[in-house]
Amino acid sequence: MTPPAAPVADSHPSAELMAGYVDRQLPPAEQSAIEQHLLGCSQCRQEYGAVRRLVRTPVPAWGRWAGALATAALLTLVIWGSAGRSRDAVHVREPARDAASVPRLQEPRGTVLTARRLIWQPVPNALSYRLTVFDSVGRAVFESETPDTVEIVPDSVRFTPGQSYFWKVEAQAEWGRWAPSALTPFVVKPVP
Amino acid sequence: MALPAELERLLSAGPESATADEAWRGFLVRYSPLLLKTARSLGGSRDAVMDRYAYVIERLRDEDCRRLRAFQDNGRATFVTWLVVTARRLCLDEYRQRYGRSGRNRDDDAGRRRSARRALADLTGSDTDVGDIADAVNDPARLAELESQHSRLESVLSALPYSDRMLLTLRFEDDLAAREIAEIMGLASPFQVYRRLDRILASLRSLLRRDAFDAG
Repeated sequence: MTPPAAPVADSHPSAELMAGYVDRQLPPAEQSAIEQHLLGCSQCRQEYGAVRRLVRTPVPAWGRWAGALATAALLTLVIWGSAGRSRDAVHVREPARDAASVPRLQEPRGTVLTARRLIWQPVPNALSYRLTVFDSVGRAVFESETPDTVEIVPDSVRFTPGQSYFWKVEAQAEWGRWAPSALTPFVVKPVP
Repeated sequence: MALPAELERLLSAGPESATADEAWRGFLVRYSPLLLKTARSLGGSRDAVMDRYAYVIERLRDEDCRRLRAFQDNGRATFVTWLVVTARRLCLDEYRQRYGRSGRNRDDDAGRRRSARRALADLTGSDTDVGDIADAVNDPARLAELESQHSRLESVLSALPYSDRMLLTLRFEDDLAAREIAEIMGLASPFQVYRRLDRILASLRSLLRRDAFDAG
């Protein structure tokens, strides 16, 4: 099931390569090299699986509070522990943003060759983004939540060439408040 | 692809500048939930998770954010994924510092591969049993036959597409559940894992029978 054991000690992928492989953004030769390594290295397989789960599952709502509290505690330690810095009160939360600030969808738009990556402009102070892709009859075919402004569509989601899809992104600027983008259409160009 | 705004601000603030602390706060506000989730993913008590999280934060800020400056905005990976990989590796460093390296070594990996091959041989109806090779060491003819069968199985396996080989590795070597395999491989459900496994094993059986027939 695996090729003869490869010498893994000196060939674990760098953080950039592993991340690029998870994001499916590496050129074919590098992708193939990492795949060969993964077949022979259980440690890196474990890392790949763990990272993939972490970037694809949204942070639970309670996690945001825990994160904010942990950040506040640590920032207090950082501020008090730093020589020469003023001991101002720590502000963990930014002021509430203007409700008019919504994500601007960048790609895909219109007719495209591929729609594996969904990219949008960041909204200042947004905590998280929730995105949804609909087919032409309004069914949600892909949903995700991420703190980033790029999402990679998994291989299991197939966009039929020539068929219209629509997508939107909602930005969370305050807990429980979401501001949606406009619904943007795209079509994957049929292969001649 | 542009750097996230919080990262851009952080990396452009000088280490001793008045804006450095504010930029670092902004970076943490945005990415703390993700870093905490990464720390939590490695298990352990709440205290252990928070120790790990604090370690990651300190290492990321060390030496004027030297590790964060290592991220290259060249389109090969998104910053979030890179950050998760980096943070997880820092968590493992913290674990090793605290508890030492695990006892696993190449022999353990080799042992798991042998067990996996044995299970696969059983499911494909191959006559190969890796254990038999050790038993047949005093019987050159039998040894040659077993090594030939073993070689055929390896040859057939190595001809499979990468995704099929990975599925078999995750199932038989890492002993993962179908749900976990589906998540890792981007399959829609565990049922797709079972269907693909059935197809792969049927294909292997057919190839091995044909191989044995050709070998005469």
